[in-house]
Amino acid sequence: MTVPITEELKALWPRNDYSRVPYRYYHDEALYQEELERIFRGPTWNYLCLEAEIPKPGDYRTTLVGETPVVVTRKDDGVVAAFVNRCGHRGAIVRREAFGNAKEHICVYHRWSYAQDGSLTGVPFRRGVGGKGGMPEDFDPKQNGMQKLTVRSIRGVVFGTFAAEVETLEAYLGPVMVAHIERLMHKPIRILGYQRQTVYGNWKLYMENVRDSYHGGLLHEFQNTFGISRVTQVGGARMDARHRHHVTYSSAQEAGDGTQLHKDAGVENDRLRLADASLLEYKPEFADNQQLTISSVFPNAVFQQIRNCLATRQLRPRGVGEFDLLFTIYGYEDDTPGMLAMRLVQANMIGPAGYISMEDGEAIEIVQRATKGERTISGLLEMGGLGPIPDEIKFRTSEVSIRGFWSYYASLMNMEPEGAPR
Amino acid sequence: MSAALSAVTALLADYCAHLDADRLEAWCELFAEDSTYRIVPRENRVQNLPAAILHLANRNMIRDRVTVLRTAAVYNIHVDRHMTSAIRVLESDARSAKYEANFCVFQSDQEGRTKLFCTGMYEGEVSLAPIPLITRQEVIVDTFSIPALLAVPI
Repeated sequence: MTVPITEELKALWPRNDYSRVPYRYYHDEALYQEELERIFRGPTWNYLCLEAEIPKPGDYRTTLVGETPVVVTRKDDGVVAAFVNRCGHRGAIVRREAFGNAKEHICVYHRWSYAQDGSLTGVPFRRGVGGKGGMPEDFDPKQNGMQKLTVRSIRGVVFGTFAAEVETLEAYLGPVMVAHIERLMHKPIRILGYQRQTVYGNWKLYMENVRDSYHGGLLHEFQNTFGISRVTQVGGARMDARHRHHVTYSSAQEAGDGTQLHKDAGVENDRLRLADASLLEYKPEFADNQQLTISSVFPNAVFQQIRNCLATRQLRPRGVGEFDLLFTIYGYEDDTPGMLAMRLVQANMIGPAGYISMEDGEAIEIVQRATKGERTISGLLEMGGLGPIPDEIKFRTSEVSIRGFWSYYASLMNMEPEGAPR
Repeated sequence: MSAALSAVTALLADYCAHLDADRLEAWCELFAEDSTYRIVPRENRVQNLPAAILHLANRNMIRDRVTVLRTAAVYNIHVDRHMTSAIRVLESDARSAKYEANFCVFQSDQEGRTKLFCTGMYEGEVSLAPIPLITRQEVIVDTFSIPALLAVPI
């Protein structure tokens, strides 16, 4: 009997507290196929889009859950629905346009037609021609529509799940993440545009990267120099009780002499000067005064507030060694022209060309390249402590949130080592 | 060839040559002081959405981009090669000209492997006197799912 890949790879954990992660986990094709099934199509809520992207009845957008193509749409009754973008007949993509507005969805291949929620409404020549041909008598359109996802929104942020048995969205997110989404979406938003990036690395490296507050001021000299995010700032991270999501935050306040502490650590942060400092203008707009919050919702979403630059990021895996990121940049409906202009300039910090974000693409790619083919060696996640995983970390030199990611990952994948913390 | 077209063609040739040769400081000086440089995903243009991939609102911000790349930024070590074609002047007078052109950029790594990095259109405007300078450059990218990252301007 063959050993399932998850069983085989589970044996590779060097320690049971996720402080060492075998490099093979970023490269194993069979493991990746299991992830698509157990995680993206499993008992998780996946971020689909923002309601503001589909404001009118009939509006739709195509998206991806894992590698599965999905249409998310607002029906004529105003309710948001989502279904797998695949004809129930021969499996063709039905809605080929990236976005639009439609009363119905028709497959080009044999013209099978579907209602706004993906239910099958029409099969050409279902009764044949002149009494000959056609579908069997017992063909049931109800059983042959496009596969529906369960959809729920929280403050206009749309999530979907394939699982029949799953906790409510609020329970899944937990109070920390619910409060965080309510903070970001405290008034009506306006979509400002998209940025996309194809990263040549395993998708889990990205979910690690966004949870890693240790790298923020080290890799990103720009944000260190201008105090946008420093390891030395007062900040930390909060996680839900199951440690599957996280919010990392920092304020402008330093825990010491940030410039000197970095210098002592051999990190440059005072050599960059800008001729036009408008990129650094910042207008506090949240009551808590956090100037940077990066959060992730397992398995595919990031919500970012870098000063006044607001965006969601959707992760779309494309094979074991590649993923796409979709940045959806937004402001608020009541933004003044000056505030809008500020957000558009601050968007220079994020995305594939962003003074901050572009460097993450490079960091992930060089890890992916250097760890390929490694059968037994692991990377280290020891910064910030070993053993149990606390719900709150009150400093920024930490990789503890990343261990939280792995603990939930391992439980979904049935790869938890003996005695592992949750 | 009209005077405006030959001025635009020569300016775009310098533009590409400077970028490909890593003469980024010289590239900045092809822009007028009051100029804009934006890299716009085609999907944002189509949907009339204002955000860009890179939005530099004057020459100082354009110079800052180069300063950050030279001083602080971490990005892939590579060589770019620009190809432009179908350079057209849409309208012109004695002082300025509006142009568009197709472009593509190939990127090569340190092992000599080359990939198509990006293709799209330039839509821009130049002031012709006293010397031709770019006053507006919109880089509309068809390849808006940027492979890995975009550090050096295109």
